[in-house]
Amino acid sequence: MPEKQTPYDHDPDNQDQNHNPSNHSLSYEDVVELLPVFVLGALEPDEMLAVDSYISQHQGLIERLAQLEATTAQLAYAAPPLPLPGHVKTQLMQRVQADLVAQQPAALNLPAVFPPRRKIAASPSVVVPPTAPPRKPQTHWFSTVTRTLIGVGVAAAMFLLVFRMIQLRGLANQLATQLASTQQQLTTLQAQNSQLHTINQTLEQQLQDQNTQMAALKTNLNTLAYASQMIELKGTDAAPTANGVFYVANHAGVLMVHDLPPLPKNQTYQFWLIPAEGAPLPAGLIHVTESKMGSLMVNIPDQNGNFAKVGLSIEPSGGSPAPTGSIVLIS
Amino acid sequence: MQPSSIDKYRTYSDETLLQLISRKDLLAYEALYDRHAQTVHNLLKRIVHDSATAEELLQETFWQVWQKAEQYAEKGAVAAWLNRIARNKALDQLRHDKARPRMADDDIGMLEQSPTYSYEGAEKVVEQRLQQQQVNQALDNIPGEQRLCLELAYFEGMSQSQIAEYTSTPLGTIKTRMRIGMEKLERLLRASGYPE
Repeated sequence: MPEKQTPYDHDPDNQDQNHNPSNHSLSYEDVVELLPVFVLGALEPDEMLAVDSYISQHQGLIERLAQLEATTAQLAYAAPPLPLPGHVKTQLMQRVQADLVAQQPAALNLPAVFPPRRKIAASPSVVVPPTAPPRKPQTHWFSTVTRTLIGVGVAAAMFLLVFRMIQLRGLANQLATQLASTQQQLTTLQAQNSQLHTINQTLEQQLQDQNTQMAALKTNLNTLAYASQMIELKGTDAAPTANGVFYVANHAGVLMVHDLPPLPKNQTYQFWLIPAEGAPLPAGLIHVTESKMGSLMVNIPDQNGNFAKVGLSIEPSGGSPAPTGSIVLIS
Repeated sequence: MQPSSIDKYRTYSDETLLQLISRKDLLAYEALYDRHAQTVHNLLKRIVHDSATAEELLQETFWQVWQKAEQYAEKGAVAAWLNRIARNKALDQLRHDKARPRMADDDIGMLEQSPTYSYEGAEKVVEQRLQQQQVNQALDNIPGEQRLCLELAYFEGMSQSQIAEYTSTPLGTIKTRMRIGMEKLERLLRASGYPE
C-alpha cells in the first residue's frame, strides 16, 4: 500500500466515538492518527501492541514516530525546576567507582591468590634396585651372610638418598612456583595501586574544578537572584531568530543569549554597553556553544552604569575597542 | 599521566560522552550527569511527587546509563533517551505503589517556582532556563483542556480511558484533544526551534 503524508488537516471538532482500531486491522491513516497518543503511551494496551506491530512493518512511519518522540521528550522540560540534591551525585559516583574497581581484576586477568600446592612426588618414581639373582650356595656361610648384610645396607642407603633427593627437588619446584606467583601478584597489585593513584589524582582535580565552578556560579546566581533590571535583546537582520536577556544587579550583570550560530575561530561575539551619548563600551566576549546558547558575566563600573542600550556584535577574535562587525542583538 | 580536566568533557556532544561511558570513562559519565541530572530530577519529582523516591530513581536512571551505555541506539537525542528511561522508571514506580497520590491541583500547569540550581556552569543554567521557557510557552499556547490531557498522560502515566474517567469526559473527546494537543505542541516547539 502506498504510504501517504501525515494528515494534519483533520477537523479539530471531529470526535469519532466509533473509532476503535484495536478490534480490526489498522489502516495507515488509523496509525498516523494514533501515533501522537502512542508516543505518550496513552493508548490502551491492545492498541499499543497493534500500533507497535504496524510500525515494525511500515518503515515509512519511523521518521514520523521519531519526530513525535522528540516532541514528547520536550515535555520533560515543563516539569518545575527543583533543587538538585548533591548527595545523589556523590553516592552515584561512589557506586560507579566501586563498580570500576571491581571490574579491574577481571580485566587484568589476575591469577588465583595461590596456586594449589603440588603433591610431593610419591614412591612410584623411586627406583628399586633389582633383586640380585640367586647365587649358588657357598661353602663359607659366614662370609656369605656378611656380604648379604653389607649389600642390603648399601641398597637401603642408596634408596634413602634417592628418596631424599626426589623429595628435595619437589620442594624446590614448589617454592619456585610460589615465588613466581607471588611476583606476579606483586606486579598486579603495583598496577592496581598505580591506577588507584591515578583515579585519586583525577578526583582531586575534579574537586578543584568543581570548587572553581561553584564559586563562579554563585556569583552568577547572585546576580540573577538580585537582578533589579531585565533587558531583552532581539535579533537583527543578521540573526533574526536570535534573542537574549541581560540581567542587571548593582554593578554586575549576566547576559544570556539563545539561537546564535557558533562562529569560526577567527571571530567572536562581543557585548557592548551603549550610553545615551558617546561610543559603545566593550563589556566582554561571549562564547556560544554548539547548542547556540551562551552566557556572560559582566562587571559594570560606576561610569558605565547609565547605559541606554546594550548590544552584541561579531568582531575579530580577541574583540575590538569599538564595534566593527555586524550587530546581531540589540535591546 | 596528564591530569584530565572535566572541562574538556563538557565540550563533547552527548553521543560522544555515551561512547566514552561505554568504555567506562568516569569523567565522561560525570559530564553527562551534570548536563542532564537537573532535568531528569525535575521530571522524576513531577511524576512521583516524592523527593526521596525521585532521588532514588535519579540514581537508578544514571546507574542504568553506566551499565548499558552501549545500548543507546543513536536513533534520537540522548536527552530524549534519558528522559524516556527516567519516565518509564517513574511510571513503573507509580504502578508499583498502587496507592498513587492524586495530582495536586496546583501541579496542573505549574510553571517555574523559585529555582535553585546545582553547581554546574552558568551556561547550563541558562540553557535549561531557556528550554523550560520555550516548552512552557508552547504549552501556554495550547488550550487548557488539551494541555491537561497531555500532562495527565505524560506525567501521570494515564491512558486515554483513565483520563476520560478522571475528567468525566467522553473517551472520543479525550482522543481528539490528545491528538490535536500533541500536533499543536509539535508545531509550536518547531516554530521556536525545538526539538532540534
